[in-house]
Amino acid sequence: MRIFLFAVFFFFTFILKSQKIEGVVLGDSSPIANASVFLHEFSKVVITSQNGEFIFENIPNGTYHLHINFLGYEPEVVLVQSPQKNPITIELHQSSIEIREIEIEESLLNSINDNRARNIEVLNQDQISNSTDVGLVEAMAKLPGVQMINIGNNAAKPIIRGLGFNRVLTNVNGIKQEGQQWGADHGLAIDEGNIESIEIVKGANSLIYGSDALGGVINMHQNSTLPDFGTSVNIGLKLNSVNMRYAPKASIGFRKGDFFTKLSGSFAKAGDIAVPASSFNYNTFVYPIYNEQLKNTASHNYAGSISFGMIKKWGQLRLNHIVFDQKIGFFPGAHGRPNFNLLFDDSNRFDIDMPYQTINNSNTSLQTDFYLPKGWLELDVGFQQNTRQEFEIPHAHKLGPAPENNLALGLSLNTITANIRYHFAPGQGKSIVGVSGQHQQNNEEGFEYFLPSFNTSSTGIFWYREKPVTENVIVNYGARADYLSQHIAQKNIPVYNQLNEEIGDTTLTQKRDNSFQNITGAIGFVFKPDHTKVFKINLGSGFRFPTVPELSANGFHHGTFRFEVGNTNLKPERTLSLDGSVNYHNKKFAIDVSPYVNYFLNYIFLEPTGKFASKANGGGQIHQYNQANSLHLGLEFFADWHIIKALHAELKGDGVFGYNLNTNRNLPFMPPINLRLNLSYQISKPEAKNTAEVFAGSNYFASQNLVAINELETPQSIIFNSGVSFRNKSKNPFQIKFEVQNLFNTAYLYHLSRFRLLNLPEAGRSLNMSINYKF
Amino acid sequence: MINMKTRILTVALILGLTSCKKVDEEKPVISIETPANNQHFEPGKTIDLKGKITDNEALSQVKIDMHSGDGHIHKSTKSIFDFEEIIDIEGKEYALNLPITIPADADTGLYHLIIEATDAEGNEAEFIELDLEIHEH
Repeated sequence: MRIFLFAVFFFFTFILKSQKIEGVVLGDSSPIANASVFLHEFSKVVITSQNGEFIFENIPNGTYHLHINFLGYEPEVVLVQSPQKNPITIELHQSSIEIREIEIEESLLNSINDNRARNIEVLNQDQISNSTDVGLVEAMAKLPGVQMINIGNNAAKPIIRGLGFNRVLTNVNGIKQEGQQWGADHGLAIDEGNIESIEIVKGANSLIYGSDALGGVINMHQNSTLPDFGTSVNIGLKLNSVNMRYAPKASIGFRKGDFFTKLSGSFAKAGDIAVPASSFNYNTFVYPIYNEQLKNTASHNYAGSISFGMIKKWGQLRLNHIVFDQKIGFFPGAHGRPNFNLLFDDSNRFDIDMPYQTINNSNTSLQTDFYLPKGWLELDVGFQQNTRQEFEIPHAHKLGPAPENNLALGLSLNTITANIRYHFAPGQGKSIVGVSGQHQQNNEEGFEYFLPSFNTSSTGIFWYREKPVTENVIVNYGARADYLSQHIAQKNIPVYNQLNEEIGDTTLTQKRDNSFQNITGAIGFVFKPDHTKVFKINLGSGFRFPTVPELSANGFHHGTFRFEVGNTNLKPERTLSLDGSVNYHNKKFAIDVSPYVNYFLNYIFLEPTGKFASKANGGGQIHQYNQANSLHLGLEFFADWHIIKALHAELKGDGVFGYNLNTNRNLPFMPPINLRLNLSYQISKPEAKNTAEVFAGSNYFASQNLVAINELETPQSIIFNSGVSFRNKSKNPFQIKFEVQNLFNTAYLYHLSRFRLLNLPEAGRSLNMSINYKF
Repeated sequence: MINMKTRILTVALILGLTSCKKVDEEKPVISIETPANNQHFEPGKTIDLKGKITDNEALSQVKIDMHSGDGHIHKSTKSIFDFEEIIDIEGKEYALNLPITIPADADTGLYHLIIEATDAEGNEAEFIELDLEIHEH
């Protein structure tokens, strides 16, 4: 380690020769003035002159990305080498389609989407701030191929291409987020107030990201753009009527010379969710919903972040810290069987009574990128603490002394992560060589038991190469090896007789040491015959080491109403994944179609045993983890059409099927086929200082009849939304948006909702608003 | 040669996907004769639980659970009557005949009697829930 650090510092001492990068921006062969040219690596912007020319001075040797934007033209991203042989000429293409400018912040230094054979969706700062959705996952779930498991107020889990839980990997500032992702009632513990941009890389991608990157990877960034020079303040507010939620946020940024800092804070308080129903049917009983509100679904959360950064000639450095604290009430009927007495109105919409859960999450990371003579070195280190606690009134079925407090299940997980990657460009194209390591420690407490305390250590090494084969074809490929070791602690509980005397103990989980290894690889091609078409095909692979609950759980999982038992014989789950995409766009129309097939080896699933757990253990049918080969196929598409210049139509959709090849049953939690149509009309000219837009849309979910054992079928549904937005594009931009979601207060069931099991409808009509102002 | 290989693979894939064995998706069915819903009992008396459980293939277990219907909110846990029995069953039909004796010192009030069943494949029957009242005369 010490030798390595010496080597790093030795490289810094290289005095890198300063050069300039210059070029000209053309549109239809004539120069474009006032186009913006952004040098990503240094976060510098210049505006082109009357002759379309631009220049950046004092740039060290290396490879850089320029982002060129001009209204009415497709944004362009080009790669430049410093020193330049000749000034670069960049040709822009006219278009009224809002081409999504796609960037992958795989490090502080960028990469370009179109050279990677992956399918990527992006939510930028503007889209996140302007959305009127209740949370980040809800906003992501509007993208093609992305759905969510709705847990209740302010909490949801992302599902990408029909895969979720530990089959979707989330990175925050380059560090893998760890917070008991296996849990069906554990949402993503990140607030939108602390996140500026999100990229979703769809499909298996373990080559670069390692274990768990099966369905897709969500990359979240706290600082995707740097604050303006001087001091700047952003304030925002979101309101939702369906749960009386109000969520203010504010951030202050400061930048001077090569230093910047940013401080942000947000708060959200929400009441019980309103549903368009006054009763629900569960197992031949009709239960009341008083005031058409789901009792005890209120929640609140506090979140804050701070970051410091430096952009130096030797590279970049960022220190980030994010905290997130949340308290969510559980609908009493969804935390075990419904019970009339528990559903009585408590006449307070905002109180959070038992059962409820609290989540405290903190994430500290250091991101550094160092320029080296032939590339750059990226070094990221992170430390995360995640504490989840479920509180409830103890059940009266157990023998022995009554629990001393209401903590049913407490889990605290500490994670240390480090990634080292060297990016370089031998000959043409680029390469990455990387090493990553993670160490985790989990402790459990509480009067209920589900999974043991454990610690794990894992390490991975990979190599990735991307290079042009011909002028129009780019190939990328690579290989990876991983190793994981686990130490699972023994769990004993005392046994009592009928007189409540302790008569010995019993073992729920055996002490166990496991180790796993995995080797994987991928290859992909990108074919760009001209600027209007992109074809991609990728043969990738993903893998996932079995989680501790899958190996050693022994308890009732409230999130699924099931008693789950681990299986110590599990092997790593692997997938071979073939996916492709066809993209075509012209001045008025764009379409993107992406089909995929995943063949799973050793897919891990819960198999019912036909046996019951006693109620002292939480009850429910006992399900044991098992594995089988599975097949998974699907398709997503996106179409965008400017019917006339001001009228814009967007149609998105996706569908996925999952099939267990051993049990011949459907896989659980498969999203239904769905279509999302959105129409928007621009009232003002797009180049005006003040713009306004009206929009209306609908979301159709087909019925889902391909269900797993004991899973309920869900009928089709359609909901509508409509709204208006206004935007001022001055130096102090202002934005306001009003939207009505579920316009007709439709009572519908959503297949992936935690409330589906109880035949409970989803949230009713909601009047939403978002406001953002910068000064 | 490649053509031949592709053809064999395609045929194998189609066969593999279509020749799936039939899976048992039919749930067991529970029907209860006695007691009746909302029936009243005195402490010290016996509830005669009688009924029938059927399945298209093979039954696995039946679970009988009786507990206080006042929710989980009571603090004193000692004198509340609580009953549970899990019985292994097999075949396509099972005649349920289980006398449940209410202790003489059982707390009075509302009780729930829940009967659940599974088949060998793990299909869960729609459970039966009866509200019973225990009170002194």
